[in-house]
Amino acid sequence: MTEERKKPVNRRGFLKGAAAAGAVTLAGAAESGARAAPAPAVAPPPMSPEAESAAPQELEVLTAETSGSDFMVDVLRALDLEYVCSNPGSSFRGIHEALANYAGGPGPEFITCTHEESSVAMAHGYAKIEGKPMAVMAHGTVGLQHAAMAVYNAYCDRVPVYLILGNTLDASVRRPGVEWVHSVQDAAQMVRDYIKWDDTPVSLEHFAESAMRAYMVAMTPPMGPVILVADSELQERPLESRDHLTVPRLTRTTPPQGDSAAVEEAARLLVTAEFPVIVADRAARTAAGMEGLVELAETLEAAVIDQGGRMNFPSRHPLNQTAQARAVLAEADVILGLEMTDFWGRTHAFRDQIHRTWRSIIRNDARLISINSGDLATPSNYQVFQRYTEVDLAMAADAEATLPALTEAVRRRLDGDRQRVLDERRDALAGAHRDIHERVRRDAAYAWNASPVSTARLSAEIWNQVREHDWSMVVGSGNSLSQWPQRLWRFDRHYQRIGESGGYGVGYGAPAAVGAALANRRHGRLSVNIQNDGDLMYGPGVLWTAARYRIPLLTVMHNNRAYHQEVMHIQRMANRFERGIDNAGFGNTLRDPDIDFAKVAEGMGVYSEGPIDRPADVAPALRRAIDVVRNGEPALLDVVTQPR
Amino acid sequence: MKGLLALPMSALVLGTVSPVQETAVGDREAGRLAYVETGCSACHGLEGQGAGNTGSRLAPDPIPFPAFSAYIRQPTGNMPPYTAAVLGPDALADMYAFLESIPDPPDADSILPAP
Repeated sequence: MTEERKKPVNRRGFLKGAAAAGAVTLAGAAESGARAAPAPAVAPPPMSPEAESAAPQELEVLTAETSGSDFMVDVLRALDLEYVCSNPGSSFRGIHEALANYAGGPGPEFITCTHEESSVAMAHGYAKIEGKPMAVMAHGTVGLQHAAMAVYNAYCDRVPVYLILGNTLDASVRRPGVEWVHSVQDAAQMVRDYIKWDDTPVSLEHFAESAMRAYMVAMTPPMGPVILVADSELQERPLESRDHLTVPRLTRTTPPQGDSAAVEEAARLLVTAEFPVIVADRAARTAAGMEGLVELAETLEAAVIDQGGRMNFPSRHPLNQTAQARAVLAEADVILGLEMTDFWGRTHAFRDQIHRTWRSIIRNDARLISINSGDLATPSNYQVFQRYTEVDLAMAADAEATLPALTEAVRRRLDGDRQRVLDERRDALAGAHRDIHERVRRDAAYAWNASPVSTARLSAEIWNQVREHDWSMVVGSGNSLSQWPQRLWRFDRHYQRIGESGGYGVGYGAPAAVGAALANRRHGRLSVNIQNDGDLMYGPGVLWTAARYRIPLLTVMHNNRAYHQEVMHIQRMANRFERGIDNAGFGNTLRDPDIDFAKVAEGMGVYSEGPIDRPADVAPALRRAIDVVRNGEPALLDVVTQPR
Repeated sequence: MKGLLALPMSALVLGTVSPVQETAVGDREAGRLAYVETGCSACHGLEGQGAGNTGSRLAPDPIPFPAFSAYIRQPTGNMPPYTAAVLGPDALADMYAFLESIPDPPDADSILPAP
């Protein structure tokens, strides 16, 4: 940052000498926010001796000292945005340049991404670790089109992402060609069904206020992506004075808490229940959220099922009954659902045969309580809300924010007699938990020496190597690993698991892992990504971003060489129609040629080894890769695995 | 009808066979190939170890053959049905022989860290 760049913004030399008269109209437009008049049509004099010696008729203003983008960057600084992930684009070149040359001190760091979907997915993963949004910049047209699926994932996962889109509203000043096709009347329209809020400011004051509002909306449960459209004229127009501009103070909302009467009623139902069960999905956003759930569960001595949308409950806590979820739900007389994405699906069994059937798996007299901020913002078009559930007491509120009051209400209702019942319940649940964990260990040993490597062995080997570190599994807890990490590992910190994509849009894993690892970097955590092969192929360029910005991340490929979920679906169809099962892999395997992910990673500047298909080779390779990661670099191991 | 000892499929499906007849003789190696080629390993793992919610554990010590056969033909859960049209009785018996041949796993304490 040079001294020149640090000049106060009011030090202006905008109108200079003979240019003053010609620039008055332009400056006036900047002040008023009105459309700038075209610059005088002054033809450059021919470079002849006569022209060079003649006095200029009029001097065109070609430079200015500051612009609207500088002010926009100051606004972004006020929002506590650490990073801007972006694939560069001309429609936001003003802000891009201001970030490079004006920002200087503390301000968002520009992270170059190779695809807008990666930018948004990185922000998605980052927000779930850091608890605040990351900014993403993209073209309002082609950039957002690339980003759309990742925006949908973040929306479904209730994660804040702060998108800034470049656009050129004023058709009369658009450059011919590209700028026209990269301009749009209503940029956010394409994704408005699955964002929380958007605005297209027409002045810098408007930009500043909407920037604050966007942040506030994104961070209010249910959280979600927001869009601020930055008009290119607003970005690039010279700024005459800041006298009329202020950066507003950011207002932060407190999350909505459950109605006090409903909280009391929930406490009454839970305390008087014979066998209450708590089911948590996207409930714990923070360490306090997880601690709050532990406190409630221990106060009630209630079984807890962790759906895995967030790190809700310690995996080895005696009350954690996730591994026998259906058994405890069948026994429950009161079920408390916290930020449930699909309460109906959790309480029913669905059979995907030629005639689709379903049945309840809970008692007919079971009472259902729900605390769900999702009820505050149910969309219409996209069917993210799942099937209607008959809930007896539904609080449209944030679960994490409501837990302390609920726990306190439960405590007030407990007496000595009730406590004895609770103690017996705790002992029974703890015994069941121990038995389940022992069974899981035995189960992991099956196919221990098989090649390709079993998902149980892969998970066990990684656990053996990371357990002594301060680790964070940023991606890898999905069904494709048969839940082995959840079953085998000891999860007890809120950042050790952050859920999955939300929208099941493939391509989330690798970039979300890099974004989460970027957030973990400052905390010195070992970020672990168990990466599906098909998912990485959507945007392998994010490996370059990890290498470029020295983002320490251990990626272990779960390389089953297929879009395996689809293999199973085709197999189901083939069986259903008795057409043989020889073509189950038709169009959904990643063979011939097999993808060499170690070479892909190497080409991106990432340390790599593989393919590894002998189980005994996994542990030594992990040790080498972890050494690389502990030294601040990404590393990738390509392990060839069994399907599930 | 290699593999099954004179058991009509209908009897297997209905589960009406007597315990004495509940055996199958198959070719283990042919069964291994059939197990993979017919896609069993896609959900149950290459050694029948199971895969969480996707497919239950089949081996070692598979369930008795009649129940095994009956479930494959007419599953009561989410598993797709393998009718005789797509999986013949010989292949079924071979597959069972393969599953029976899978040895016990190593002791968990010898390979996994203590909890």
